[in-house]
Amino acid sequence: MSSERAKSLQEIEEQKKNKLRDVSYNRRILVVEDEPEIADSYRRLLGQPIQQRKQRRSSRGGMQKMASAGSESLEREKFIIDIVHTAEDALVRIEDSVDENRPYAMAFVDVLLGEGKDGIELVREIFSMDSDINCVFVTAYQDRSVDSIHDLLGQENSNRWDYLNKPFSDGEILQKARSSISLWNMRQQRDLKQQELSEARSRLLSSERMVSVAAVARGVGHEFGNILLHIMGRAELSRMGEEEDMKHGLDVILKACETATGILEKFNGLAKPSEEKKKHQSILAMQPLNEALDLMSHQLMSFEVNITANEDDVLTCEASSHSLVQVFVNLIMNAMDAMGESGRIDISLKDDGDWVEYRVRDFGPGIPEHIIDHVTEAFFTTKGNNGTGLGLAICREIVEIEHGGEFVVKNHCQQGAEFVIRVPKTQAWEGKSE
Amino acid sequence: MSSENDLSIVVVDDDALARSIIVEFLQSFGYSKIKQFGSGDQAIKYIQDVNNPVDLVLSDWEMPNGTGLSLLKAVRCNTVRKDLHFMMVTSQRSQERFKISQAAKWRVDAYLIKPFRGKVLREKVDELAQSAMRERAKQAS
Repeated sequence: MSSERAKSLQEIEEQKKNKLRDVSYNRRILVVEDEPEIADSYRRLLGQPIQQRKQRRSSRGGMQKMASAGSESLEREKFIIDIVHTAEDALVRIEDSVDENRPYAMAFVDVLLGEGKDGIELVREIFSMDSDINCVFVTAYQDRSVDSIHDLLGQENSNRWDYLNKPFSDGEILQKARSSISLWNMRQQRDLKQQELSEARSRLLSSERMVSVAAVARGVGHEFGNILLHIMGRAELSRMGEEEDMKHGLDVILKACETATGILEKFNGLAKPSEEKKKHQSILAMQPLNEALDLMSHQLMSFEVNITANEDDVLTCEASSHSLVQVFVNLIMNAMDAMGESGRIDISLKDDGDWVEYRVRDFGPGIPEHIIDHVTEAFFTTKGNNGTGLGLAICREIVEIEHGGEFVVKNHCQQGAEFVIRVPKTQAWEGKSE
Repeated sequence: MSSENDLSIVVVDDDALARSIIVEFLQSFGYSKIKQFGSGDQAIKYIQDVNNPVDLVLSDWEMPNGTGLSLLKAVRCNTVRKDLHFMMVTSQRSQERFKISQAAKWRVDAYLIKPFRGKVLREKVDELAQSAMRERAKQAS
């Protein structure tokens, strides 16, 4: 029974491989050539005629007919080639291929097409319609220098075209086709991997953000213990006591309920921020710091926290309040971890021209010099199994990438580690967001 | 001659409301010799004066100005007070390993988790009180 299952798993694996080979590897080639003899040699080299490909559903009526009139579809071993004779047909083919998500990996384009059409102009148009395709120019005359083509197509497209002189040899055409196709497919693979990577990264970041939520949750849990004691204890004592005690008891209970509601609201704000809070907008620079201190107040109970802020009631910056709260929660947690049960944390905020500057300093042992450059790298941790090594990496990402600010880690000249966060007062560098 | 209710109890909690609830519960159980403090440091000062009567300590864990753990350590390091009965009151349900190992190292006699019903407080306090009475009797004989 287990061998049966193994076999079916093997089959699935095999199917997967085939799928990759047959479907996702793109071998489609477009040939744009007005001279019949040369079109023949492409046909001979790259493909053999196949039965009429089933007519595509015509979404664009007349244009479609125009395209199929003077063109044919051929297939050889690995290549699937479409041959067209005019620039107009070529553009129709490209447009269709993009619309139908059956893109060409490459095109061979004659530089001098009939009726004075220019192959290079055509490629420029093709590039604007299809952002992935590679093109190989084929010309009988060296009428265009490689540099002039480069100038026309631009630096950004320089790795998407190649150049071949007529008369070409069979080998040249075949190899150009192979290498262009392989290049197209490698780029697709690369993009796919990058996309997967960035998705995995964002999943990782959001799960790491939940770690700081969990840390705050522990503090909230602790506070709730006290609040529930106010409620339970007072209720029980009121029942035992006289009637006039009861009124006082109920007042205490109601107050405790209000406190609990307030904590819950703050906590929900951290775990599930409103769109308003995530948005970059003008905020008091002190506000995210206060919010973080508020959230951490319970954990900070046995720590001495000194705050120095000038003009904190007027100093503003354009930022996502929610993200900065995350940064400060992380940094405060980090400072507490560095010191253990108790210790001192100095926090300052100051106006520095176009920037607001926060400093968070602990009075722990500081960061060993040989690792100080690495502490903001993802997965770098000194906490063994107690840390994911993402906390500071996220702080830096939020400050530098999300806010265009600066995130500096250093040891204070006297004692402890110091984190300097600079956030621009306006986010003009990014262009005005809606 | 002496009853458990004669025992002197020290209650330490930075949260005044929580503290008064504990004190009122203790009074309702019949204990009358209760001294209360809002921080570990104040309690240490009181306990270290050996003229002050102390039989049982009920302390919160997390407090500014002297945590429950620093109080416990001070008690255990004091030659006169080292065998005091000590109950830690905490609302940390998921007690981190650190806390448990630290508390075990410094011999906590009982744990009480906030919030609690009066009945539970009574059971734990009575048990510690009886134990304290037994020891008092042993020393007297």
